[in-house]
Amino acid sequence: MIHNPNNIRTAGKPLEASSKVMIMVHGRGGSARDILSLAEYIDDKDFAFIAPEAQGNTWYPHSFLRPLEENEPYLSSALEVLASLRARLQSDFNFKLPQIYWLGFSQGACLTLEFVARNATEYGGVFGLSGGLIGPPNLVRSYEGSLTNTPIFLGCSDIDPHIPKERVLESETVFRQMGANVTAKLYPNFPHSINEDELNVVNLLVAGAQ
Amino acid sequence: METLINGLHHVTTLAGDTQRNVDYYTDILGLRLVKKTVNFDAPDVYHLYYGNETGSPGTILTFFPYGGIPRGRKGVGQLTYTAFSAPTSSLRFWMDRLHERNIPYAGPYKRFSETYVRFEDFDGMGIELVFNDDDQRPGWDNGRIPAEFAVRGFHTVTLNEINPDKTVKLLTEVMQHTLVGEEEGRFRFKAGNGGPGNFVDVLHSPKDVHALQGAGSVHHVAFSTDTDETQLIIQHQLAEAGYHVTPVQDRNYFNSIYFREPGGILFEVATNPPGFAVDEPVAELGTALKLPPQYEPRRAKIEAELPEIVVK
Repeated sequence: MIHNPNNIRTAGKPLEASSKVMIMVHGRGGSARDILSLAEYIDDKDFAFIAPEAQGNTWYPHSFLRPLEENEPYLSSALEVLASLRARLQSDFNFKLPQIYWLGFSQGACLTLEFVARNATEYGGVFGLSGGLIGPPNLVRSYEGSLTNTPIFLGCSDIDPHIPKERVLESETVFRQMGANVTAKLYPNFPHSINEDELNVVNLLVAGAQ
Repeated sequence: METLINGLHHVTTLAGDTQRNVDYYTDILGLRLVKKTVNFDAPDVYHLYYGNETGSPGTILTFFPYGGIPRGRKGVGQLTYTAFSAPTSSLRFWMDRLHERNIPYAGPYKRFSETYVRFEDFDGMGIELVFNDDDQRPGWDNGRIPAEFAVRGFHTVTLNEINPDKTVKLLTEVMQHTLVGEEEGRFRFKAGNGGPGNFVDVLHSPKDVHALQGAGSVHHVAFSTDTDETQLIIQHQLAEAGYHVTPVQDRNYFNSIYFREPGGILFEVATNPPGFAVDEPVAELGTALKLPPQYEPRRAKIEAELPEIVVK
């Protein structure tokens, strides 16, 4: 285990007192504190927010487009952090899976989307901002499970230097085949960052999923 | 056919409190702390290695103590029990010792005609002691447990699997193991000539829940290979068989490759050389904090942040 599963920060309502929780996963070079600052843009004030922090601020060392093994054992460790976080929310705070929401940015979005695909079930919502499923091009994806009733939003620039738009569209197709209600938006000429429209969509999906 | 896999090399587990971990494995089980270093990928966490006097492959149990992480849960897709080998004559000694230390144990039971007892460390790590007279490895006399009763190293690891077929295929077709016994859904495989330290049991567990990673859960199991060359051959064969095997990683005391077996358990293949005496003499193993070169410039900060350890 490389990433410390204890290294987490929280914001919003206390976990004990909230009916919904959003797991926020930061990008390469980011931190739990950074990503939690997005909490103030979520209109629904009933959320608890929880963010794990990567060892050295990086979930895995190489591009998410490289062969999976090149990012091991970091990638497995990062996925285990999300698994243990989810398990903790279920066992210690009694959240049901549809009360759990996921939001990731950049590397954190890739990690979150990959985790959700590998652990498909009904979640409250999944928001992958500037990210896509992990692995080399033409990887055969055989995820098990169903994402029926899970709203998923994929937002990315169409010229993102890190995230090819093809991967965003491929992820959209995979999630749709797994039964999710997918909204994907490619923003023309946007930088690698989170924009206002993306936050609006997240808020709409959160509100619609109530 | 060239021998690429010899048997078990080490088992690595997540732990809670650091000092309790040291006390348990050095005092209660009587292993030697053979190396005190940090997680090479996360230097704010210790990596503690316990083993026999020299930390021979097949005796090494290692831990990442993460402080107060929640406990894991035993289940499928996990190595649930790590069995150590001890002389038949030591059964009474060990039962008395566990009883005196208020450590609940189950057994003695019989499995494949050997007697064993089963218990857990304070984090819930599953341990067994298997009593046998086949083990020629020396025990370590640490001043608390006479060498004649001391554990010799690993005996067997138990892998819980919902669907064992693919794991069995990996063990037998790629990893040079052979089936040597079957008992109540438990399939025993040996590497090389077999014997304690070279056994893997695959336990068909269709009704188990899925395991959760946490304190007391095994993170990975490493198999031993003789040299860097044999490691590259097995790496190639694993890749050919469709496994996502990592590039070779330098762990200072061995070189490692990692991959996940079909049931979800993380496997490693580690070289036997150079071993633990590469950066401190055998007599002083485990006494100083050893850092890989890339962390030496940060030693003062790393030392200041790690909890103190006392080997009682």
